[in-house]
Parts: sequence; structure tokens; C-alpha cells
Amino acid sequence: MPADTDQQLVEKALGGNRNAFDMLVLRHQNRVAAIVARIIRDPKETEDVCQEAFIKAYGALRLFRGESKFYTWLYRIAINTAKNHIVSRGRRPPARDIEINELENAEHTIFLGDIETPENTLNTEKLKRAIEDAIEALPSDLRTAFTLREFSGLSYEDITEIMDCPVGTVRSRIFRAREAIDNSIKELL
Amino acid sequence: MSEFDAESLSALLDNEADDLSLPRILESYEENSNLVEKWRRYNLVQAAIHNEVVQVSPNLRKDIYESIKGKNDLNGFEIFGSRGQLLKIAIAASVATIFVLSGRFILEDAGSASQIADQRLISTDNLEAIPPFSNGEEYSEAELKAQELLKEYISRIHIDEEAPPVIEHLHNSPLYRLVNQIESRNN
Repeated sequence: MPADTDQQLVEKALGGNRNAFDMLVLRHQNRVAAIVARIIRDPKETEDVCQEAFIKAYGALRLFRGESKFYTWLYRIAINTAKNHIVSRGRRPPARDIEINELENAEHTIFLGDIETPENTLNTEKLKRAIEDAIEALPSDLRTAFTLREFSGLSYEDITEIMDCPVGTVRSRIFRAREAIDNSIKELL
Repeated sequence: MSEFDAESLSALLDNEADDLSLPRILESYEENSNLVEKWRRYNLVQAAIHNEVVQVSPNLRKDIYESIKGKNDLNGFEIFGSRGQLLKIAIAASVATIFVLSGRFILEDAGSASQIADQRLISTDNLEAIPPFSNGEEYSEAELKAQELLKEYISRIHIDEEAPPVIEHLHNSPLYRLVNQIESRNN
């Protein structure tokens, strides 16, 4: 039975493994930044607030009981940190509370151009287009496995049944699809 | 980075990795910048596919890492938490000790009630034999009633040597009220 990766990483981080927390940061930083950017609306402050949110999460990690998903817990910290940041700057917080569900369901892509980082020259639209092109170019079996996983959210076991192949094959196809996409965007980042 | 490790990263991204994958990845995490970068890009692509992306500077991750490195490890938080618990227990124990000792002192003043408590510790079967306060004073009806309540309360006391003392309920007890009455009368 595969284990939840976030939960595994949290346990490792609680055991003193800072690399595990680094993996959690890399796993969630883009989504956390998207959430914070919706509240802060000041791209220059977004990263500072993200950083603060992750540091708070690290300090409070032992309080995470695993009763909810880790990302829900983390996003709530990010939302509260962003709101507090706005208040501390003497600005008005959002007119109404932004809820986790709303953030999860909403289209909240922020263009990379709004967030000025010297390392990144590609905006999110270009990135998305490159990903779409790469998916289109995948061999049929890889594209099917990847699409079922990424867009339909099916488990490897479900995909195994649909594609009528062993789970190892599903795992390998999804991996090879990711590698192909990764190779096509790597140079752009 | 081996293809095997990269495939494990892909499975970790999907919450489909076995228990051995993560420890193996973490083992080579620090020396393997390709692995870290691939993990970052895999997650970026996934976030972009789901329209949940703001790209961030690579410095963000480094700054966070440095900040948490500056802190004590999470065991520090645990130790702090345990200390907090210990402190609470110590305070509770101190309050209980002071309460019991002062209660005994006051009762000694009032008569031989401490003997009653001592007898209770020796035997719970002989409550009828507990002598009344015997310093020769006359007692009012209320005080005699209080003695009865005290005996009744003592008969219900159960001392568990293994468990930490719980004192909150004492505030509502007849013993507590009796001690307060005697104390205020003496003052």
C-alpha cells in the first residue's frame, strides 16, 4: 500500500531530517505562492510572506496531527500569514475570508511577469503551453497513463485496470511521460 | 541521479511510492543537486497543469532552509513542550503539597483532625472509631455536621500512588470548605 508522501515527509522532518522539509517546500512552494499572491496582491511581498509561512509551518510541525491533509494545514497557515501581513502593513484584509476550498477550486494562475525574479524569464502561460505541447507529443500509451493520473486523478491501481497492464508498467509510463515533459521545459526555466 | 531514483521521485509526486523510496531519496538528497532540481520541476509542472502556480525564486527555498537551520531542530520544540508539561505538573504538585500541608497545620490547630487523616491512611474500615475533636471545646451543630462531612469525605478518598495528584475537585469538597471556615474563624 503506497504511503502519502506529505505524511512521510512530515514524519521524517519531525525526526530531524531538514531535507525532508526542503522537499515539502519544493513540493508546495508554487501553490503556496499562488495562494499568497491572491491575498497580498503585491508580488514583491509574496515571497517574503511565503517564506514566513513555511518557517511558521516548520515551527508548528509537531502540532500537525495528520487529521487533515498536510497541504490543507499548510495553506491555512499561508492564508493567515498573508492576512496578518496585510493588517501589519495597515492595509485592509480581503473583504471576505478566502477559504481553502475556494482556493483549491479557483483558477488562480498568476503570470510570472507579475512576480519579478531575475532567474525566471518564462511566464506561466509559456510554461503551460510548453507542457501542453509536450503532452501532445507523447506516445499514446504514455499520454493515456499520464492523463489518467494527472487530469483524472486516478491511482496507479485504477489505471492498471483501465489500461490492462501491470502496475509497474503504469508507474514506468507515467515516469517516462514526466521525463519527456521535463526535458521540454528544462531549458526554458 | 539514476533512472531508478527519478522514477521514485515520479511515484513520490503521485503518493504512489513504496516505503523504501523516500529514505533512499533522502539519503542522497544533499549531494545530488540534479535530484533536487528534478523534484522542483516535477512539482512545478504539476502545479502548472492544475493552474496553481506562481513561480518563485530559487532563493526562497534556500532562505527557508537557512532559517530553519538557524533554529534548533524540531526536537527543541518537543523538549520545550515537555518542559511546559513538566512545569505544569510541578506547579500542580506544589499547589497540592502546600494545600495538604497547610490543611494539616490548620486542622492540628483545630484539634486532632490530622490524626483522623493518619488513621485513614492506615485503615479505611474503621471510620466509626474516629474520635471527635477532643480539645474540650463545645461544638456547634454546624461544626458537628462539618465533622460528619469530613469523615464522609475522608472515607471517599482514594489515594493512587502511581497517579499524579489531581486537586481541582478539592475546591468543591466539604474538607476544603471546612478548612476555609476554620481558617477564617481563626483569623
